[in-house]
Amino acid sequence: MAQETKSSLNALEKSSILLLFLEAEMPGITADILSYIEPNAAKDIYITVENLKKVGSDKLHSVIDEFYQTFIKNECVFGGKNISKELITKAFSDKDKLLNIAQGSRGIFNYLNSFSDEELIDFFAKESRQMTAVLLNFLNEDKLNAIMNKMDTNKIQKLTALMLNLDLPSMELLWKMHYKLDEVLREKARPVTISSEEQINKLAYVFENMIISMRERVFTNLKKTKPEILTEIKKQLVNFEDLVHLSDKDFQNIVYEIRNIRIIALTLQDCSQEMKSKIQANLSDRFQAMLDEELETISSEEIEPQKIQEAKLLWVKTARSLEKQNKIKKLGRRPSQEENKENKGGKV
Amino acid sequence: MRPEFNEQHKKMCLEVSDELSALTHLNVNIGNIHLELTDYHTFFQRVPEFSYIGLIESKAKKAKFILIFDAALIYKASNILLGGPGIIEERDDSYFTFSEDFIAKEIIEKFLGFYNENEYDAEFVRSEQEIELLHSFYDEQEVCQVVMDCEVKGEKMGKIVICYPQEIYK
Repeated sequence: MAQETKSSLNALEKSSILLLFLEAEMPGITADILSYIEPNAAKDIYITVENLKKVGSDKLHSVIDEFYQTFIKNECVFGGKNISKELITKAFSDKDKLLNIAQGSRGIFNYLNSFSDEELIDFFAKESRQMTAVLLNFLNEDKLNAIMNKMDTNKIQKLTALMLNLDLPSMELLWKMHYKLDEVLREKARPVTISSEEQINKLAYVFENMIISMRERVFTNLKKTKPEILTEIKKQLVNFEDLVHLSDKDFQNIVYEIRNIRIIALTLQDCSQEMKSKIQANLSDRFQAMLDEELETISSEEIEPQKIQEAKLLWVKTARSLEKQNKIKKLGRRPSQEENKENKGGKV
Repeated sequence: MRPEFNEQHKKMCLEVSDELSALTHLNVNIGNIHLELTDYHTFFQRVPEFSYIGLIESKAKKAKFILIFDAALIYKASNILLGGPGIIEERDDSYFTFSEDFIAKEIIEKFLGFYNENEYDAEFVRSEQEIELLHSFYDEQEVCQVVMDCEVKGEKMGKIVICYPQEIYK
């Protein structure tokens, strides 16, 4: 019988039955226990209790027995008891009060500790002193210390006085505010301006694929109007020559993806010695032979700056595409010597 | 004006006071109702330059109406609900903070609860801090102005004013 009951109850039901039994034995203990439980779990227990209605002595024995087997190692005897609806009502009659006790102040505004000091100070600057005092009250000691150290003495004095005299009338209201403020702060923390990293990266990607003369015209204009944005864009911009810093393995992936020997031959017409060596070092003998043949057939008339530039843009475009597919490491970062050794693969 | 309109507002004061008292665990009392028919232009002139103004839409009555709270009421109520003595903090500019906006919306929620129990099918549309940013009535349009006083723990907090169009009060 006990075995059957054991399997038919879920963890919430068992917890609720145990709590009801304890409440019958020691009135008032439920609120104490719930104050140690996470608010959402406490709420779930409360809802389960509300739906239990009547618990028979067999179920009660089974739950206590299981609790005993699992958690209590010493010998003790519990008497059986039918849990009536009156008992449920007695223990859980004031829903709001119980939820307030269950939720208490544990965990309230706990997400504030994850925001930077500056973000919090910025928010406090636009808030009333009373609200600031409430929120400071719920910060952990380290965060409170960090924030207070960045405030002037006069403000600290006023806030400390308010914190010491806080008389919060409604935890329910504060919990409602807890959820709303979380939304508001996270919305504020989301980057939305043109200077955000995401936006800069997007623009850098566009400029990489732009013919250099056109790019320079745009840059000249940006230099006059938004010089700080231009500096950020240039930091993110990947040029053909930057690819020389890639690991050999990543570089070979790009060469393999391009495969077009004509493009490689054209690129070699106008690039640094370092890049020439990098390309040649990452070609297989067969590919090298094909390239040599290609180089011999290129006439000087064919080598137009526009075509060379397009060939270089194709390298960058291919590199970015592989980066997006996570087939090569993030562009713009020089790999360490160790990484380079590790990443040395077979030639293309 | 509908004969039961005044009675309905007395009931609203009672219910909203009770709801707010239960939420805040404080003695909130809204009362001393005064109803008056006027044109919107006159009503507009009476509204303070800076208040907390909520625009509400009754889908059942196919009309919008305005709920206005004295700025002082929102400041004091927020201070009390955040554990303070109910003072108005000195401020360089006139604005409502996140917490004050939150408290104001909580109060509006209680009013909406009453309207919806009485089949208004009411929804909060938006809030403003200046009446001139709302364009829901013509200047010459007749409106019903309802003025109520709000007290917390026996202390006067400020006025709550509602402006209804004919679709609602006739």
